[in-house]
Amino acid sequence: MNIRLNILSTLLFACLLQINPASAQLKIERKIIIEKEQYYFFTIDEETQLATLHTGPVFEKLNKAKKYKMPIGRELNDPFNPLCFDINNGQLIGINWILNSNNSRYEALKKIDLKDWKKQHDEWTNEQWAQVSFDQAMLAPNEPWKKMLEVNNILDNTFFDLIKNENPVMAVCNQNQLWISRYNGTEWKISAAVPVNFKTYFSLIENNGKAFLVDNIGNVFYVDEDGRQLVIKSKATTTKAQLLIVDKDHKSYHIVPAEAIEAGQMLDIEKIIHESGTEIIF
Amino acid sequence: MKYCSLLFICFCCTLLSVSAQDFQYNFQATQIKFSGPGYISIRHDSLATIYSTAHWRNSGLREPAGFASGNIMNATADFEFLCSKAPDSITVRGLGSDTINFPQKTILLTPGAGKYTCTYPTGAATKMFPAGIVNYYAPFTIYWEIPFDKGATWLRADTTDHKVYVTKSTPMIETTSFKYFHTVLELSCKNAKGQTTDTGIISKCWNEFTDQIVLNYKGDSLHYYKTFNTGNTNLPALLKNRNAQCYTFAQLFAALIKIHGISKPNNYVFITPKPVASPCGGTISRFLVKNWKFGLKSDSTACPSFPYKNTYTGFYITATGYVFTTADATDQTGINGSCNNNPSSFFNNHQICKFDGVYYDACYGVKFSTLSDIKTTAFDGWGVQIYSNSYNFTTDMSKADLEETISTF
Repeated sequence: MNIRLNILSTLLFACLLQINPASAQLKIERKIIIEKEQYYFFTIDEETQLATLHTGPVFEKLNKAKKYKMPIGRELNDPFNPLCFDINNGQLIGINWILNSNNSRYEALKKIDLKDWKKQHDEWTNEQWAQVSFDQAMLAPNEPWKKMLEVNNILDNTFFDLIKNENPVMAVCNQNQLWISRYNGTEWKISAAVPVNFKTYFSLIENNGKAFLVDNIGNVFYVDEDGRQLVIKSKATTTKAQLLIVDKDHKSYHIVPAEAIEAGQMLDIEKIIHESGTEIIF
Repeated sequence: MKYCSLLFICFCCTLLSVSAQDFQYNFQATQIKFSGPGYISIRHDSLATIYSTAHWRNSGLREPAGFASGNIMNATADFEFLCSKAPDSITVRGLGSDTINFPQKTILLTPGAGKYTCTYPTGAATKMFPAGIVNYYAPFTIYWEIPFDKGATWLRADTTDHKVYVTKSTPMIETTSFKYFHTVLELSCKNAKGQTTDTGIISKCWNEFTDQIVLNYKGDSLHYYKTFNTGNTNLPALLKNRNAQCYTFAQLFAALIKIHGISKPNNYVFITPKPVASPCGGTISRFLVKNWKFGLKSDSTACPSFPYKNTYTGFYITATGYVFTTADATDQTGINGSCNNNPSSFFNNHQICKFDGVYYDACYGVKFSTLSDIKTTAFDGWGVQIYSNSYNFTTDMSKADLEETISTF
């Protein structure tokens, strides 16, 4: 009898695993942002390259997120650089890196008011969504990318990210050289090149106006005072993929195993941070 | 494909050294599998999933096999033997194309319902695919034979035909967009058959594109912008949807080279106008590929350097063409692209291949020696967005230049 029950429960569990929506299929792009007690994260459609915003109150389970298709996205080809985005006072700041013959890389830095997209446009085709994305207002011209190309137009280990707290900040790395650029509203101030050795993507964060880079497994780096070399701030304790949680309400950053979020969609973001997060201490 | 089964009368007795008994039998292949070192797991174009391990079944299944040259193909074959009285075992051999044969093996017959079955166990061919040579077998034929007269004579019992691709070397490792797609092997090995050098392979594979008719392994057209607004921008999307942007044809050409294990770094070129400010504002960010007709210069007062102005509301790129509200520049039938004599022609960027210093534009099947040749040969104008919902154009090609961003596909 006990054996039968065990078999039955095992089968039931196996079935639940099969139908559990909290599967590894939800591939979150680089980070989750918390602002004004709302969380925001993105997934990318693997055919159209278009991003979907997932958002909800921080106390609500992630699988209850409201989803909004957004006029922004990223290319699917190698090398993999996740969607670059930030949320700043309800405005989405991001790099529209959809691969398309009508999408300009120079005009790819976008600002999009989230409130404008609460009404979705189900009548639009994916191709129309892509066109809309190209026409979104520019945050700033992509001078950091242009500068990088002027130094070396052969892409290799090319990664980049964009954030905005006070002002936009962008980090671009190519051929083992990194530039951190700051936009003052009219022009970019681009740093001198710093030698780096990134083989995977990094995410840009700021603490007290100072830029840090967090790689995909949670190593934290910053550029030294002289702006000449990259220094490791804290070393990753794992080789597994991590996601960044940017809590703008508490001005804190956490690193969470990506698999913990994939498996934890039945939880709210605060619980996920509490159970699986490691705070980045500056 | 020939479905072969031979009917023999009276021979069986001789074969089995049994005399004075006449009867009929039928010996036929039911399934063939290839494997072995250098085997290439080919993917379906449409699903990107790998073909099943069986390459031939008498039910009609026909799936391709791929090998890197210099390797020996293994085969496993299942047979059915319909015979009223069968021995315990039977000897089988396979004579393949180019004398790539499968040696004789004596295999046990297993009785079943009204028939016997047997399996030619996985075994290597008698010789390898010659090293360093691309080959294309359409078909690779195997004559399956059984002996009689105590082995003095072999009877052709069944024939199986297979599509077999042989690459020059082990293919480069798969990536997000580069996969061992059926069409990649078909086009590459068919065009480069017999080639032994990297330059020879590049040259022959390029021939696939020069007539602007690129077909998949089934003979279906691969369209460059069958719809003006297609969003397909990688090789899997091209092969699945057969309608795609420039990126995909560049990737297809590069894939035809990579499948032979040829490493050519910095082979993939993204071209776009150098972001130069126009005198009227905005940054030059668009180009028009021939042919465009220019009429009134409706903005010549406000912007004499980019006097042609097109305006639009909403979506100006539709599936069938450009829909402008007002248009000084109008799209005409253009330069032929793959399977399309009037593809899209209003772009921010374009992607091409570069091998050994030569630019290959696989979408249009043309080569260029220098970057500047592209604008002078293929473009009709530059564009800039000065105001929202409009573009201004100039036909003065000296106003801008292309820049290239190079990566490795």
